[in-house]
Amino acid sequence: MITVNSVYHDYGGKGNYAVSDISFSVESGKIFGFLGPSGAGKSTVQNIMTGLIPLQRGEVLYDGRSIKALKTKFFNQIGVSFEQPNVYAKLTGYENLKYFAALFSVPTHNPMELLDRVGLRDSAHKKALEYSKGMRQRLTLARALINKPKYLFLDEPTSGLDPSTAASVRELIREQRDGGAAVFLTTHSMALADSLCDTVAFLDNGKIAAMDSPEVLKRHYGKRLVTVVYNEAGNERSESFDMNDRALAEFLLSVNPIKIHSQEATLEEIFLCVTGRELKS
Amino acid sequence: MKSIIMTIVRELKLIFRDGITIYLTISPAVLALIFIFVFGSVQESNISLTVDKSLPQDLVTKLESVADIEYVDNLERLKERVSGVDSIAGVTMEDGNIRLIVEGNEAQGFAESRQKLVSAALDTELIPYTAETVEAQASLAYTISMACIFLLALFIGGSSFGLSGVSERESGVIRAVSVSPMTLGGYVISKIIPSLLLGMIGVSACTLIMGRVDALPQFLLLALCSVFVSGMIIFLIVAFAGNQIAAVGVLKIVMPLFLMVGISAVFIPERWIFLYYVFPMYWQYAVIDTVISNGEATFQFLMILVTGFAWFIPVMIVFTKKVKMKAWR
Repeated sequence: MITVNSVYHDYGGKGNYAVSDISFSVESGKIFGFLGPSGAGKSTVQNIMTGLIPLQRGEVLYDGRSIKALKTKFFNQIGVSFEQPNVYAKLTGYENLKYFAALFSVPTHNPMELLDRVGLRDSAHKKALEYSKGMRQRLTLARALINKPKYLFLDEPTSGLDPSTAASVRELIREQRDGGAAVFLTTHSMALADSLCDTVAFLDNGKIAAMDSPEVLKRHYGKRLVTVVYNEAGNERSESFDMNDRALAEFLLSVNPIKIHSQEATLEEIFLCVTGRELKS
Repeated sequence: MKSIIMTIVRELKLIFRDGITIYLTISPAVLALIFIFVFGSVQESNISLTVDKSLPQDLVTKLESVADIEYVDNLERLKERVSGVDSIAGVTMEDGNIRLIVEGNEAQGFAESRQKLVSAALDTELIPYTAETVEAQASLAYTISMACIFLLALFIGGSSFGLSGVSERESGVIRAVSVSPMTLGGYVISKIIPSLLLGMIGVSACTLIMGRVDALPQFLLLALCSVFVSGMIIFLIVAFAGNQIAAVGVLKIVMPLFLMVGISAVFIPERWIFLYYVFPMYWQYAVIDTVISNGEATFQFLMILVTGFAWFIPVMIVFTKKVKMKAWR
């Protein structure tokens, strides 16, 4: 389990905090979505959690042990996929994975099998500079998985992917969760977060504006209304009712319903509601 | 250890997949070839002897069967020829005795081999040889040119891996390495070792091309002792260049600095030379100068290590501040 308690970070040292009072936890076997627009502080938090930025204030614990006390071997347990597909462009996809596999002192995946999983087997022996952005993105994801990480950090893992590849990447992420990994997912894609995350946190101006499971957030911020679309003399009409209104049942029996919708809020709408601004990349 | 070896292999792969780096790597050897043309027959494939008119013709004929013979008018001219930049021995006749003259700073093996050759050719007992001079006679132009080529070979070893580091920084892949178990020490070692290898290959090629096989061990030792200088070059480039264009700019400053600091000492009055003692590049030049003259350079080798290390530490501090790749390890 990853625990983040009251983390603050000030790049300039002048009291202007890029992130402040950030607290949450990511349990093993769960996906935690960190949502927010560019500049909200998502990457800062991820960089602190992965040790790329020193922890200034607060604490980050991995299974109860402070990040400050962890040794080099700890990095055998984490996998990080960056938003920018940062790979060795002059090495082939296979060489990239083989090299990174050699950096770890734990059993690793077979590079070719992993390339197969992300749909890059046919391009395994092509140099990464010949890859499209989406292919590099998949290679970056495969690299993050090479050491069978216990803690997985994913930054916009489906960015630039076609729908079919994005679906297979989502499936791969679910597999990591089902395998017991604690997954920290940074994204501004509400659809991705909605489909994958067990818990989401909205980050705005360096602070967590709301945090809970998507279902709870939707219930909390959504309207408790049901809209019935029905046919009346050849015309489509609609009527809305409170979910607990007895009149709803009577109405359904009296008309010829075509569709019934619950008026559930989307995560995007919830973000707009709690932060007062739209979520843009 | 496995990660360091794999990183070295990866570094070498990247280096040799880069056309510019290949060109850079072979450039000292190309310069050495040009050097040969400029300085003429510094490298002799055949054994050469010089003789003066005191030597009877029948003996000269015998010597012609084993060596290329150069003729000079008198003993004075013969001594001048022997003390030239190339390795040549002189044979003369004094008081009815044959005498072999070699330059005092030639290797011991050179004198003995010429002594045996001439004695065998003339069918006599081993003739005595005289070492005429102990001063290096290599011209300043020769020494500076040679130093430039060797320093360039060493510099390119470091700069190639500096450019590779800049590429890692520019693409962000250095961040992926940072979140692996690779330590900062491992990263530094895996950059320096291949740069040493490249430097040793470059120095060996130049030594062989210039016909100084006898000095090869010392030039290899020079490359080894320049370990911290290579480290300085690599991490200065990576620290101050965030992309390849900036790297070219940094190279434009760093390269002349590294090549000229040592060599410029030649033009400085003796009383100010102590100012150069803090620079490893000065000691590198001093080693090259001493090795060319077949002198003993143990102290200079040590000074390259000591001063190189003293400069390497602050460079690494700057590097770790500029490139925050290891926050807490």
